[in-house]
Amino acid sequence: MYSYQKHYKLFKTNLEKDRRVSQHYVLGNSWDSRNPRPRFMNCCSLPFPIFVISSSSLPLYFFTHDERYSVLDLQVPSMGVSLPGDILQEILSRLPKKSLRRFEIVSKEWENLIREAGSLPPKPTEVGFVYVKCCLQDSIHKTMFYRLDNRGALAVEDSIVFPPEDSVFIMGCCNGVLFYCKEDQNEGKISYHLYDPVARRHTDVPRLPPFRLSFDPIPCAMGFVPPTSGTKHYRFVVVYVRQSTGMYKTHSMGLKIATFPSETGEWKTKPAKFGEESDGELRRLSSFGFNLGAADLCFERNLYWVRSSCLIVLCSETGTFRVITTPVSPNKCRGLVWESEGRLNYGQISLTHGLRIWVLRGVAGNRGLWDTIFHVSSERLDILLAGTVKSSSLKKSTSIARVSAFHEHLQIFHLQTNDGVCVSYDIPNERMALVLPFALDKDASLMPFAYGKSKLPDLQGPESDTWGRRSRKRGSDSCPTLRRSSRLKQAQT
Amino acid sequence: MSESTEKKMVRLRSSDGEVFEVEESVAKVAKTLQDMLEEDCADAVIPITCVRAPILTKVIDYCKDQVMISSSSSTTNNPNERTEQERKAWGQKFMEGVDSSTLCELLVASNFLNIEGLLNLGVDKMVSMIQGKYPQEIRDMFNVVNDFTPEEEEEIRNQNAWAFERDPYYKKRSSSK
Repeated sequence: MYSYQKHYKLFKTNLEKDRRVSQHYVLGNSWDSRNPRPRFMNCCSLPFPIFVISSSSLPLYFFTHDERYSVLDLQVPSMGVSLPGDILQEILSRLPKKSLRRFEIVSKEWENLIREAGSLPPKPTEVGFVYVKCCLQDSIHKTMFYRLDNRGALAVEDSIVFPPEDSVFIMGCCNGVLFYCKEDQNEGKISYHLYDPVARRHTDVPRLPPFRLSFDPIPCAMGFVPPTSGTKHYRFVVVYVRQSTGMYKTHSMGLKIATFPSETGEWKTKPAKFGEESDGELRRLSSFGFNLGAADLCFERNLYWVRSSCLIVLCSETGTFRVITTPVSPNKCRGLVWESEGRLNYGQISLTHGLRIWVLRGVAGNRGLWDTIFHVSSERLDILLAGTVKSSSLKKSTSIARVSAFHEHLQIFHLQTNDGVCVSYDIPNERMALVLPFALDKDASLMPFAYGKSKLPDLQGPESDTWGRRSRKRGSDSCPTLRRSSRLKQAQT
Repeated sequence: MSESTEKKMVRLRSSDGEVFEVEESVAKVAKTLQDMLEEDCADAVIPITCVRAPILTKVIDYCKDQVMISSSSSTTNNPNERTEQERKAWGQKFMEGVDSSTLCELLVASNFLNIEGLLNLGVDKMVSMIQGKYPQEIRDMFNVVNDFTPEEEEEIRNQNAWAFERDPYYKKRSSSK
């Protein structure tokens, strides 16, 4: 029989000989095998024993080998504080991959911990890209989802339940959440919805407030501010343009912003404001029509739209529009904006400079101060492309028109040609692959979005997955969110 | 909570000798202390030998707050005595201005005293503190000695070059060394 008690005594004797220990520690008198953790507490103090004690494999580590009795065998940090291994593990498991790769060279211990953390099963956020293919079939928008796993394989994502027959139009996606609108054939009313393809959850945008007369408002820009770690509240933001004779004649004074904060559960409308430096730029843009569609990104409660010459920023709190210039002068290649490690990143491919990523350091006036943090030359891209793509349409990197998606966790880019052919560029492995051969179908438009970073609030309850059933139950006029909030109010009073 | 029963006090001694007197209910937020108290093996003063006084103060603050929440919910039976959001906000405020070494000690203390909530709070704070940092900053922060040979370090860095390329300041820093 293995005796903990006996070994504990041996251990204690050894520890007490060590002055470093006896100065600081009072060792408990007995070892209780029923409850190893607290029993040990009296003998543990600063760094080293805690490291062992807090680990789940603790007792045997100490007791089975004679040489482990001695404190000298244990690595005692010279000074300051160190963290127990399993706390460190917990911290590492919550860090993004990029930080982890960088931290591998901190020390050998960190390297091991990180390698171990890497072998854990991927989190839901790492499932990869979800692609949606919309095409017009018999004047109905047909929507299909494709999923890309970590290895780059493509499969029809049939687990996603999406309205198959209704006339649904996908407006865009923001932070991995899909924005779409749906027209009720009978009443001609349009409703707006959000869909998170990774969490497979639908949410309705509350029925928009009437905007002049009795017309249903048609928004020119929409955004969704997801709940952040600090708060559970979310908000919808909709921008309207003053209508005139059937066409959108837009000038900045005619813009109105309606916000729906979940705290109040009611729409609030006010005129849009413009940052002073950005006014001219915005006027220029709005002369081309202010049809922004769904926001490309929501970051720190600001909504971002990427345009060829600039980023349009709308502060969801104040309703102020601003413009930030992009790092490259306007060209025909469209960029992509995303958030990484708490900073705003911008990626773009250009004919002469290849693929680049910038990070926003600050803003001066309406000028964005961008630092280049990643660069692959177009020559290098050409070489990689030659090894990947056999088809004639994509021999040179110059045929790549846009950066269509970026997966922050996996660090994989998706690059797309005007024909819709899509290749992936894997930064860590410096590898290219053809990912979307079906995109050659000219009628299809592709909307890629990486993993669902933002969480849709649970407005619908457990039924949210069964789309058809739910929509039949409800009239087009109903608004579950408002109903729910009014019910809540009643309950409170 | 009945006011009539006399509140039992528990005394805790930090590593630097300061003695704190707290209500038993507060001490019991720490599972380690709870086990000790329940088994009645606690002496007059419980030595908490790995936690310094300023850290213990912080820990006790946390425990007091936890007791306050649970007691108010049991007496008033008010379902929204503190919403998720308020809890998060409180957590953020609690961790505001905590520097990395204090945070390390706080993590060690909450791990040792087995206070899950505080541990979770601390880990989140630590994650937000270290993401985006660079290896040398991490070494300084945690007093980690770089035990790689320069060749080994270079090799790993080359393997992960993309992670470093993302950092415009890294090259500057290493070349100035």
